[in-house]
Amino acid sequence: MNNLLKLVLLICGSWLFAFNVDWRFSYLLPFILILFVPHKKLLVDLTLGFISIFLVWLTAALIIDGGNNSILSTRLAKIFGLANGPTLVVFSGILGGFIGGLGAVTGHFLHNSLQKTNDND
Amino acid sequence: MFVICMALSIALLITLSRPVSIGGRTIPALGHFLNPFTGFWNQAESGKAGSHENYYSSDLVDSIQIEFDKRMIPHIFAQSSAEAFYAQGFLHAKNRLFQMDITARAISGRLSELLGEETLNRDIFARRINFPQAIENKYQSWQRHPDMMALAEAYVNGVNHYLKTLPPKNYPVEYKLLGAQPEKWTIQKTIAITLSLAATLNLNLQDYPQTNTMWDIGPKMYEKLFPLFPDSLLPVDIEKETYPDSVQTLDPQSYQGFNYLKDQLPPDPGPGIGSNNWAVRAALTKDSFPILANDPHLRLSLPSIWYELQMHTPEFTTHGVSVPGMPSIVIGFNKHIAWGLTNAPIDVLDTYKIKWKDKNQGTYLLDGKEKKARLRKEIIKIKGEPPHTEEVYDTYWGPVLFDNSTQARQDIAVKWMSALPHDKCDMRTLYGLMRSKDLFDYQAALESFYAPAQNIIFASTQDSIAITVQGKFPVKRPGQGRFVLDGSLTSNDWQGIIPMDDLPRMINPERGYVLSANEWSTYPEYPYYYSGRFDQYRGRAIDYFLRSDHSLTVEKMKAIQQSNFNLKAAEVLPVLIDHLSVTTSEKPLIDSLRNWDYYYDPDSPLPTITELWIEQCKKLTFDEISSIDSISMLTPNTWRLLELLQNPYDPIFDRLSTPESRESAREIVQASWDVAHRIYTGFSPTERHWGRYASLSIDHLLGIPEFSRQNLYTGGNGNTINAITRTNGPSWRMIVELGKDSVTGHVIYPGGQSGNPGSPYYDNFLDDWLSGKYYEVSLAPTPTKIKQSIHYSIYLLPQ
Repeated sequence: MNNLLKLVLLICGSWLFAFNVDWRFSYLLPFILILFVPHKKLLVDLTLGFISIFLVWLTAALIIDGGNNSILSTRLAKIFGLANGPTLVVFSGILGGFIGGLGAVTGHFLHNSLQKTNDND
Repeated sequence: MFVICMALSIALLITLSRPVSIGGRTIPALGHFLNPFTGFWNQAESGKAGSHENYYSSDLVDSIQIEFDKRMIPHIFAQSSAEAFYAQGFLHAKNRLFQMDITARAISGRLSELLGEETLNRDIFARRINFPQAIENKYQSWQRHPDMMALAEAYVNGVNHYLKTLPPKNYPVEYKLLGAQPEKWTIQKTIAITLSLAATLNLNLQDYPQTNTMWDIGPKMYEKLFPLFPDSLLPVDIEKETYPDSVQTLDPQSYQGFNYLKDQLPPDPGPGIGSNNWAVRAALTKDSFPILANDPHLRLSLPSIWYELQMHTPEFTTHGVSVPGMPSIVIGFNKHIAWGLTNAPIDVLDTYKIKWKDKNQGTYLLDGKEKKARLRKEIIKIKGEPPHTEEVYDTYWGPVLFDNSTQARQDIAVKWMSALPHDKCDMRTLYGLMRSKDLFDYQAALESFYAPAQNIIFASTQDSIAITVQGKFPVKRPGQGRFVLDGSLTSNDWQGIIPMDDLPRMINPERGYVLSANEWSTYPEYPYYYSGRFDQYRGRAIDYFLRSDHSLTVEKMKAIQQSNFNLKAAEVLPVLIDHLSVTTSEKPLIDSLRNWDYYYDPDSPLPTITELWIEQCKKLTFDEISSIDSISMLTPNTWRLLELLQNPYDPIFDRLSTPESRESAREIVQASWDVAHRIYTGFSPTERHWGRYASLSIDHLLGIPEFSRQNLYTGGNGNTINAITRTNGPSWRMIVELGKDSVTGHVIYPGGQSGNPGSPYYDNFLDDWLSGKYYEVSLAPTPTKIKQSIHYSIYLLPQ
């Protein structure tokens, strides 16, 4: 499957479901997609998982933060020891990316280990 | 590789699902908290409300329309009182859910369930004093009033309706930070909120420092330093009636055989708790309309203690402020009348030393006979810890609040008026006032009010004004209950309740105005003994302003309400300066003080040196009172210092540390000036500004600095009419002009309608409050008449 298509699927899928399901879905979606349609290179899958969820979380946080004039993010950034609200937006995005990336990498390795088992059989 | 990666994933997902402690601070579960779909970002409100929201409920018979104005003040249009209260409950929950929950938990002794061991001592206090039983007692009282219970139930249903519609992703941000969830609301929780107000206003444990001070200096000196009434007394009720002579003296039974009480008292709400209210008749106003003003001074917090609203039913249209968690409007006005409250700080809590026969068996002596105390085991759940069990004895007097387990040396039981069962339902008073049309209705409404005792002021469009010191006050022997009493004698019990007909009150007095500001309720000739913690200055200052102007206007009332004039400074400073020998270098500062108008304005450095000087002067004068760690003591009031200064050679001014010499007031004033001046000159010129030196902080309920507004540059202090201290201040400023055709309010409070720190409406009134602005409010009989409507509506519809 085309990487771009996978990226679009990941972004759209996580965006559509994220509002109604647990945040761990951001791990599960890249995990499942990459498990079934992995790329040969680990780095590509990692990047896809990271970028897609990073973008989704970052965009959602940016839209909300913009509408709120950073009132809440500025207050909470201080609790987290961050400089300002926008930093918390980026931090949220990176956290999402990290979760997505790890999901994709795990899916990639599971695919490989299942394939190896099949090959050995 | 997969196994490693899977293990890593599981570890990460678990880590992100749990709160973590970093540098002593607990950070919420990051995955839950930071994701933008169900985490804290959901509480980042845009402030752009949708056109309308519909909610359906099987509890409703008719539709309720709620229209919001530009300030997010809801105007509730309902077909019955019950449905109006239903809507009020819904709105309180929608805007102040966490505040309601935390307040109810605090009074029920359940904070530690949410906040962990940090709040265990607060919970222990709540359980020892048995707030839960006080809630139950009040619940039983309310149950005897089915009509009021029906209204309270409607309110509770409104709260729970909102809770049912609330998905976890929309929980208030505080719950997300704590990893907690809201609970179903109950009438008991509503009662807990009412009790919380009583605890704030009249849970007065002054018996402790009073007993310690008495023990320390002896009865003769105590009577000298702490007289019950000042010479310059101006009480709430100025109409002296012919009473039989009463003796206001110390009760000799009450201070025998005690030692220092090594106590762990809860934080004292302190002298900042107080309020002002006054009402003037038409003859004293420029436009010939009566005017009523009220500003209750409480510990300020975010979210604010108040939630403003307007309620319309076929029976009434009323505007004012409510307390989240409680049905009805507490202070407000309708098209006929306005009413307001100040605290009547009369002592309604007495303490008794228990004489155990055998403490292990719970037996104690009462009138020479053995009596058995009931052992109560309180189990307090603590977040992340095993529960704590607190054993408390309940006696004839009440619970043993302090015993050896609390490191007190003596076992002290308490009897508190607000905790006792009553036959009245105080909600009827507020409901009655909301619907009042005239003086008769006001008087009828007040009959049900018992605690916390208030000076309830009234004005009507018919040009009637009135004030009543309303509450349930115990009848005591003269002097009884100022100190810890001997708990082995039932003769130390209260001898009854002051009959309602004998409560101090004034109706349409000749002078044309009534007022209160936490001062004494009566002249000493009042036949019933009482004591308390009263203010001497604000009331007299208000009296001065009202007496000296017979063409009062709303604008003048605003100026009075925000006046930083300090009568205490005006009376004390000239006397202190008279006793001073001034050096050349200090002369300009003394000249400034001499020519000062005694206004505690934020830019002025003069209040700073004044307060430092008075503080030092008291410290040096009253060196007879020991200063011992962990023993709470009293310091005489400034008015008493001033009275003593009339005799400069009074032995009180002789310093104990210099037995070889005999000082007079002159030496004390000089020495205290030297110390105060040294401290003052140690500050930079900016630090000397009163607004900086005594800056106000309004803290979030959980003390989260990021959700608080701190170090605000303000004027005033506890003795000025604008009674802003470092933590307290006018929590609601209201001035109502009662025109024959229209009643107009001018209002503001330091906060905002939303309890959500992520809302633009969280603290949007605060800057206007700081700059002295008011918002004009009129009563809108229909939704289309709402001024500055933003066309945001909520419809609560029958299912």
